[in-house]
Amino acid sequence: MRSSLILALCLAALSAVGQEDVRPVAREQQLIEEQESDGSYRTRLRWNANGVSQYRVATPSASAPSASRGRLKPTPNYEIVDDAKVMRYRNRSDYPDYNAGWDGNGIEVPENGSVPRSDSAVGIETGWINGGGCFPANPADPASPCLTEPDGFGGTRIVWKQREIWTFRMSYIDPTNPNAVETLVGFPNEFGGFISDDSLTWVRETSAGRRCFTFYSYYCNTYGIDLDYITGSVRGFQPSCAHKRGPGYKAQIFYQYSRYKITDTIPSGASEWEPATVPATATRLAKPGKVIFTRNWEMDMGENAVSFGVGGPLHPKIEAGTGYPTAAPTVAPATGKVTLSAYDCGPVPGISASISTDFLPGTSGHAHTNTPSLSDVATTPGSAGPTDANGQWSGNITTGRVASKLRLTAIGNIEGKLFLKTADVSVGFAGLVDPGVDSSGVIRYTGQTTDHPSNHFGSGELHVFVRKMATYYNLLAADSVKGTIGINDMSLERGGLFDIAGGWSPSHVRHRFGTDADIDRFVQRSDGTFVFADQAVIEDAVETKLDGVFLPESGDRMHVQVPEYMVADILLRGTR
Amino acid sequence: MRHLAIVVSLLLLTAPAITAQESTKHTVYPLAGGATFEVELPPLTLTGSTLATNVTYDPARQVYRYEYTINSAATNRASIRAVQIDISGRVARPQTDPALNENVTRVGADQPATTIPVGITVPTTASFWSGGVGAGGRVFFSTNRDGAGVLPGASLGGFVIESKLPPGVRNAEIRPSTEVWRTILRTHPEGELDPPADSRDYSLKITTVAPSDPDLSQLFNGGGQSPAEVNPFLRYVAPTDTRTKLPAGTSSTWVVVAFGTTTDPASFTATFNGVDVRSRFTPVPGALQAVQFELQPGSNKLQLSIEGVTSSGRTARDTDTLTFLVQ
Repeated sequence: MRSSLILALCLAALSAVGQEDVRPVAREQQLIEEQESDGSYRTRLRWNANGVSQYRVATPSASAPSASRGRLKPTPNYEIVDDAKVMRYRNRSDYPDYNAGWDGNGIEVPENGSVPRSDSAVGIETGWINGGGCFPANPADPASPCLTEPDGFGGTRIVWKQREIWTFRMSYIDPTNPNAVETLVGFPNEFGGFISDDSLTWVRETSAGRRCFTFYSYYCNTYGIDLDYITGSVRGFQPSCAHKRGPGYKAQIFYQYSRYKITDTIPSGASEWEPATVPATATRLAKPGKVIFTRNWEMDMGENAVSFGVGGPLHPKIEAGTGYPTAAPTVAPATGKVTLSAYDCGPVPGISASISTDFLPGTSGHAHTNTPSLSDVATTPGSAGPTDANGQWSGNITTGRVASKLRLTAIGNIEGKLFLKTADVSVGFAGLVDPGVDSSGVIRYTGQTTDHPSNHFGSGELHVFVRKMATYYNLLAADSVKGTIGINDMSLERGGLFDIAGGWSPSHVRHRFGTDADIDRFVQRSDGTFVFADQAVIEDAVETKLDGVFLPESGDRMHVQVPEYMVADILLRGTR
Repeated sequence: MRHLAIVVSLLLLTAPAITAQESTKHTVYPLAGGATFEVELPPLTLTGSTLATNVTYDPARQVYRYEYTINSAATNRASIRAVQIDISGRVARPQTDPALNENVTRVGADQPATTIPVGITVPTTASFWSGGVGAGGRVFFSTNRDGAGVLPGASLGGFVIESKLPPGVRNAEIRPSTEVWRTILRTHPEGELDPPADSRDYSLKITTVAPSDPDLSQLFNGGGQSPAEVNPFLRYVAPTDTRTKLPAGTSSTWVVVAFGTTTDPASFTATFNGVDVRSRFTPVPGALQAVQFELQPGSNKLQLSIEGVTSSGRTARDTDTLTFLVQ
């Protein structure tokens, strides 16, 4: 059982904290202290979402400062950053949210890799970053032993790093311009305006004598904890049309350390930071210390620069003579739009693509995998383009009589780069349902086959219709022929041609959009035995009581249809 | 109960000619697969069948009584198993009215709420016939028993609709039995027919007189008289103009007249093509009456006239001349 205490704290108050090197971070944050089942406390820092920089903090000790103020092993090495990498995030939801326990779903950008301008963000992620250690005897050689100095009592003492700073930078130099100025491209502040490096600072002594990363110093001081490492970090920015396409982008992490506190007076001739900052020039930014990570990358056109789509869903056509002389003697094929659009920070005209069309077997109620003539599903264009001055092209798709799914694949190139786009179109009537056999006990489903296992999709009107028909039958028929009416084929999942033999050729000519049902010749009585249905009773119930259509078929089978005045409504709904 | 007979009209209804006098061939797709085969089905012709109507009004109950007789033509190729008559209305009403006589057991109540409430009676001498109101707002008289239909050359009367709503010209349908088809199809393997065996191809679509739901405030007043308050002494559901053009071959037409509440029945006169037809009307102030007239090619004139009392207490006469032009 875990109780949670949320202390809402505003870092605006940090300006009054003390003299340590607290870099102002105008972000609202919360310290969450959660009590574990063993009574210990676990502390997390929650940064509210508007900041692009986040630091992942593990469980800093909440105990009193220990006697040993240093690290267990004095190590003067440069502090590397674990697992640094450039990451791109397709969508906003891919960006890490450490407060929510979400480490993100970015894609690592390799050296000279590309980042589409359509991405939600590109940034630098790191793993662990450790603070602390001793100052090397030779500042230019971090592998040299720890620097020592007299302790005033005849002995020596180790000189510790008092401050460390990691600087994260995203910059750009136009490689096509020999005089290009290096500019920062990341990272914006939380308001998205000012672009600056992102930096992380560790101090050996806060105003309360804690070892701590400065973004966390208020909590180190307030709760008496040391924070010598963070377990992860990220900062990023959103690519935009303001960013030029091509190479020249670079991610870097700089590192510096200092033996001096911020309050110390730097001796004359001494360098406050090692390595010292290389000042900016007219064309290059300042270099704040040693580069411990670098990665070059390039900006690419958006992943969605080319889009390809098919309007839908589209209803199938129905040929003449389907049994709805008033409402729907025929149903004209539907026509939809196939569109190709090229836009990358502006329309891209002249883009073309070849289009191939594939039948997706096993869709829309047809479980048989043989392939129909594609034109029986829809007639599609064989190519697209070229896009016009607005980067647009459109063509037509015209449906056939079979409800099913097609996949259209467009292949072309944009500015020399291959693209492959797919779009699925579903041909079928909308609004068909199969509520299943209810508990009324007047109907039973029959006629399912391997080719068409779901043969009882229909309009709501049809399902009500057959239930009423069966109910009235059982009220009016002689006792000897009462029982459940066998409801055979209605329509398939999306209607269209119901090829009863699975060969894509018509047979069930009136089972197209959920208005008709076949009725078995046998009634199953309550004792389980079967007898022939009294067709005259069914005919009367259908035609006079329900105003439907009764069609006798061969071998004592029957076919019924909802009233024709319902057909228009069903069709209107189905073709929307 | 006083029952006032208003009019008896034998209606010889015109029906569209059914040309399909020959058997039709249907391809059967066997359910079990295999080769298709053909079956031949005879026509279910009902040409010449009629629905005779007798409309009376009971002023005491304020109920119209519509009595029907099914006349099956001797040339029919099938028995008549049902008659359906449109009684759709304009506004929603309770669908049951205990004041209306009925001897059928209703099964279901699927009709729209705007259907005109009716009482339905079927002849007790006609076995296996029943009545009701169907889902489409049509009264039906039907049998669900093979062999119980009205055979060619026979008649079956005593079908009655009672309603508090006045007569109007309504659509009706006379339906054949498919028994002969089913008897033939039963001998073949299970299969689907193409084209389907659709008995609607042989149904007779006719007009008859049945309960209607006119907007009584909007009836045609026949025109002609002044002051204007005299004109409504005689108003009409049909026709809706003083001159009505009818297609060539039309042999009859309905006149549905509404008598004003202040009219004097004794003053009523009626001539049709110059012949006194007063006896075909029984005016009742405030009631409507439907009368069918046989037409001759060319112009047919019906003149109706009646006196009534105006709001000032003065007696005035409304005379309307209605012309039916068979082209």
